Amino acid sequence: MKEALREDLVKLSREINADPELAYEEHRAVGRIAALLEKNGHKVERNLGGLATAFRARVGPPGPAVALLAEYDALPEVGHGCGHNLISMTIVGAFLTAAAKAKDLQVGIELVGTPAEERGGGKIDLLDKGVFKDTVAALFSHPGAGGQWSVSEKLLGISVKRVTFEGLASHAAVSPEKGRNALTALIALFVAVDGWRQHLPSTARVHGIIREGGVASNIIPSRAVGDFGIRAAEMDALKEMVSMFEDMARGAALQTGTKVKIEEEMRPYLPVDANPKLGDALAQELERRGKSPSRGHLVTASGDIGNVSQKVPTDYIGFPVSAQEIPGHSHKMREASVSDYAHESAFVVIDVLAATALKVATDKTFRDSLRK
Amino acid sequence: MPTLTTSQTTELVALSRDIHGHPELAYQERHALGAIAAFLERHGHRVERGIGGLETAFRARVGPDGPAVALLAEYDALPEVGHGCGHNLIAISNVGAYLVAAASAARLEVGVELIGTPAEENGGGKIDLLRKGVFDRTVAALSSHPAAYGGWAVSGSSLGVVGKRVTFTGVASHAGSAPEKGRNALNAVIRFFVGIDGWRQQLEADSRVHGIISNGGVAQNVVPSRAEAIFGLRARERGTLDGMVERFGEIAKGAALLTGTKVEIAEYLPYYEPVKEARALGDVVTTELERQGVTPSRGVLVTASTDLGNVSTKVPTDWVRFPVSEKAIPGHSEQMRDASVSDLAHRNAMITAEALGAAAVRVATDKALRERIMK
Repeated sequence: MKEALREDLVKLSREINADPELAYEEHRAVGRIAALLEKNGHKVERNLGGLATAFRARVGPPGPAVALLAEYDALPEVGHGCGHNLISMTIVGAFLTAAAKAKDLQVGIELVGTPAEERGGGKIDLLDKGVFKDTVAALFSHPGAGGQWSVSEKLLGISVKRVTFEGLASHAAVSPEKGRNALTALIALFVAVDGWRQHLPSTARVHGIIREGGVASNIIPSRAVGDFGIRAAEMDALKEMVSMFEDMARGAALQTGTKVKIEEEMRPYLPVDANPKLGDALAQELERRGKSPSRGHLVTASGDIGNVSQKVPTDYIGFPVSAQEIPGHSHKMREASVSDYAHESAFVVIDVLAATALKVATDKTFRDSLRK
Repeated sequence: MPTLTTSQTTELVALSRDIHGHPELAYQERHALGAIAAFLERHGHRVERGIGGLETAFRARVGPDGPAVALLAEYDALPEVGHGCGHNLIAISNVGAYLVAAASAARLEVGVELIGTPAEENGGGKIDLLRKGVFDRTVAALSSHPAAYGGWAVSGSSLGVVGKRVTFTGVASHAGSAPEKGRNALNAVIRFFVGIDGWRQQLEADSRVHGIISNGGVAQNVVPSRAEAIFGLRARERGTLDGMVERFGEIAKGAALLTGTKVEIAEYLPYYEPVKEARALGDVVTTELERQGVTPSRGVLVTASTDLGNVSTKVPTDWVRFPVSEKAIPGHSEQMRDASVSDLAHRNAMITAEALGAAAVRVATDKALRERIMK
């Protein structure tokens, strides 16, 4: 890679990190990425799938393509405490590197800019709009810490439910027998979940809060609202847990003579189902550059890359921003995401992703082996 | 023959609807105070606002200086259900009673006061006024309360109540990736509620414990480091209530031990005393109700609580309980709120006004009766 491009990529990473924007509002980040792509001779298709901050660039023949997925949204309060500036840098770098080496591509190579990973799930919008309909493989990266490299990481799927119980208000001392206590129903649900936890796989999670627990102690609560996150490592397990959870909520309503309503508080992020062949290719390229990645490590967090992985052969590289362990979603992580250490790792990721994208786009046998 | 004229009655009903249509929480009853004061001033009475240092308390007075019979108005509402306790009717029945007494101003041997007492639902305005000496020269206190069920009653007793705020403190952590590092304060509140539910089996029949969760965490993916509940505890006798408060504290500490969290219990509402009966005063109110064609029951226990109880421990006190609905409905509910501006409610509020006004006049014009009441 030319020195000038290396400098441009580091500058892009630093500028995005210093100017955090929340989910679906990443206008300046997209502007910066588009400017760099255009400077290198690529056309940028904006408003992809009707999302103002989604975009696409492309090389190679029309039709099926390998997709490199960029993220660039930040967190409230901690800014780029998840290091998405590095995801942008590595994916843009990989696309430009692959494009420069592209010859005899059998399928296209795309850079897809995906907004709102932290809140909302931009990749789910893009999946719904058919943006990944012709995608033969999706490649991605995510920063971590502790000197660890990884491929084929697993992420838990998460479904977030809002549970609302409706009872009957009454004076809590004069006429308690006329009331139906919605808070008692919500507490019964929490107690049921606590008992259920004994039987859950060790990687599964159920965790809740009480959003509304009554208005005054002398009124029997007629309404109580809880939010619950339900997580599992496998799709089947997640579906089963959600169905069990809904039964429990109905049981709590029966116990208390109240009514229950269960809604999606957020669209589910599905578990990551990493493609083993893509994992092999990524691992091989990393090892060639002196990195020994772990395989199949479970991270008990969630991301919308999981939804892509359930439809399209997908894998990604986890790369370190520091030799020491750092808590995720923290100020320390934000600072480490613009360190020299982080940018050095990012250039390795760029080369590995570019080589793997080219392999998928030029090797039909390998490509066919992804969907078997 | 009613003392209140048709136009006074019409105006009182309009006042009731005005207060009802502008529900205000404890200590913030500025609209209600303004409406009541404007009404009194229209009828030639001076209104002393901000008595006892409370912005929304007031007093009007007729008769000679010195000791007085006090008619106590309330006008605060509940969160969300608004006037689901019908305090608009307490306001107009006592304002009406005051007008009835004022019609006999020339005959009064002691004064008759209308005292506006804020914050019955939350805080206890009458307790503030007692502390400030507002009732130091009161010879008898009279008031009223609408009832969601049952008939007319006089000399009803009530439960004592205290309010407590219970706060558990734990340790926050990511609920997905590091739950083992957290201490869940909401779990402690839930253990606490379950402890209370079991305890209820052993409570005396007319004791009550009831709570809400006022803080149950901030986001489902963060283990709650802070959770908070507000509880009311009620009993017929002070001694029983003291024992309950102690047990309540032990259940809270147990919930903290169960979850490895810390607990703090603070006063949320001062002690509302049970209403103490004043038999001779009750006889007068009963006679006056009967004169209006109503037969009240006597000494019924209402399993609610009121800061009128605190007044009753210092001053001979009685109150008229009048129905707002033919059939039983839940108190503190939207049905109760709607029933509190029904024709039946307003008709009964006017009967109450006549009886309370006449009772106040009798006490204020009969020295022997006053001595019997105060003995």
